[in-house]
Amino acid sequence: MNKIVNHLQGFVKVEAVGDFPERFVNICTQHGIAFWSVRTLGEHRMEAVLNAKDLRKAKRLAEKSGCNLAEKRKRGVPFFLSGFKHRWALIGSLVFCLAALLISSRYIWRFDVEGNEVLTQEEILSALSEAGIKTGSPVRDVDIVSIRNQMLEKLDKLAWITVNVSGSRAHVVARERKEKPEIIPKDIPTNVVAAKSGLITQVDAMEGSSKAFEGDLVEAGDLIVSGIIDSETMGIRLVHAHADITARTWYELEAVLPATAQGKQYSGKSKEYKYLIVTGKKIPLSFEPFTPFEFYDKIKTSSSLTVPGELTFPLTLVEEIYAEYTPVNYRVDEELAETLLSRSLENSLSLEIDNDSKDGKILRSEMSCDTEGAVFRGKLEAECLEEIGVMIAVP
Amino acid sequence: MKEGFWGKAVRRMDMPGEVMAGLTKIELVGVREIYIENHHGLLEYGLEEIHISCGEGSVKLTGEDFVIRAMTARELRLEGLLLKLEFIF
Repeated sequence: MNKIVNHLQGFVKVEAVGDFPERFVNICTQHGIAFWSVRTLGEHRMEAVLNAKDLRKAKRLAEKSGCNLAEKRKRGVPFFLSGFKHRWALIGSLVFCLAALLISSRYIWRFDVEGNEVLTQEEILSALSEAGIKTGSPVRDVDIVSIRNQMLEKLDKLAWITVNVSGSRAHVVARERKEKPEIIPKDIPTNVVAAKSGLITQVDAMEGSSKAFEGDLVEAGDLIVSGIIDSETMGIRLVHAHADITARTWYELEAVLPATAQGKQYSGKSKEYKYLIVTGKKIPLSFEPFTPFEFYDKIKTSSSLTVPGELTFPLTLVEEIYAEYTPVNYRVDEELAETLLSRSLENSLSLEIDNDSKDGKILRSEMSCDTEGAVFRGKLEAECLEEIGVMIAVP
Repeated sequence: MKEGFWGKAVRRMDMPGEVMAGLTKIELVGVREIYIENHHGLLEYGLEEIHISCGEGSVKLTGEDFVIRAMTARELRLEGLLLKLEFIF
């Protein structure tokens, strides 16, 4: 610890030469100058180490005690820094960097948006910009309550939003409104009809009069549970019929895939274009290629200047690489075609049977793939078990 | 040597002399470290012999490779091989 303090304060090794160097040491200690590593170097010569701040005083006391004081070595932070005394450019750059760091930390330079599914990041940022928060806005201007009110007014799909500013980065957390399912009020009489054709396996009627039963085949639109009840005692009355109808359904889905596909063969030639984006303004670092190649891929990478923590500078280096390629046609492998078609058809089937959050089950499925001229044709036959009942108002 | 008034007083009252009367206190850690409190200055300093004033007399240290590790107006820390310690009045 002492060594660290000594280095921070700076220390000097001195050599005292005189008739009686001990006297010099005694006078110094009496005047509050502390010494360490005192060594005799022979008769009338002594070396010692003292704090840099005490050097001037020690020289005065050395004269008083009839000694000559010579500095032998200087060490420590003050001496290290004094080496930069005349390096104005270095000091200037350091001051500029510190000032830039301090100033830029007072502004927002980066936005991170999370929690959005339907709304795009651009929509949220654009609305935020209209609410007064954009890249380069001062951090102190962020009034969360006011922003939230304005944002909820601008974007209907938004349920809640907050902006957490940390350093020069703004974390935007959004929660979107969930669409309400269409619910028919209970006082309106309803029928339960089949949404799809199928073989009924189960009818759980909570209210209403069942018109179709287990084992019946129904077409889409057929009445299953009626909301009109006709009884001998009460006569005709209308009820809000509702029921869970499970049925076996059959699907035949088809998809085609061209037997030839276009691919890219990279020639290895590429052109680069670099530019800086400073507070939203583009500063080119190289010439932008006008028409790089006839066919090319544009690969864009951008890196922002950040310091560890939450501080981001308004400086982004963008690198665009234009890689030339030649389009080539190749024949799609039969195995690959089958995999792609199978994946596509399974997705389509999932979409067909998963509706209104009631997941259907695939009981059996069979996939076949044939080549027909220039295309692959995939066919999926499936048998499923699913909920087919749908409520409609009694006409 | 005649004992002074304060020396006698602190001894009789069983009090720490170095605190109450400013008497010199010498501590040895083995034979390589010497710690002197309330010294009155360096009288002579050499690699093999050191004389330190204690107010009422002086202490002569004889040994090898003496180095003053730290020195303030009150305290003195020495390092070196101590062979002999003498009080001179």
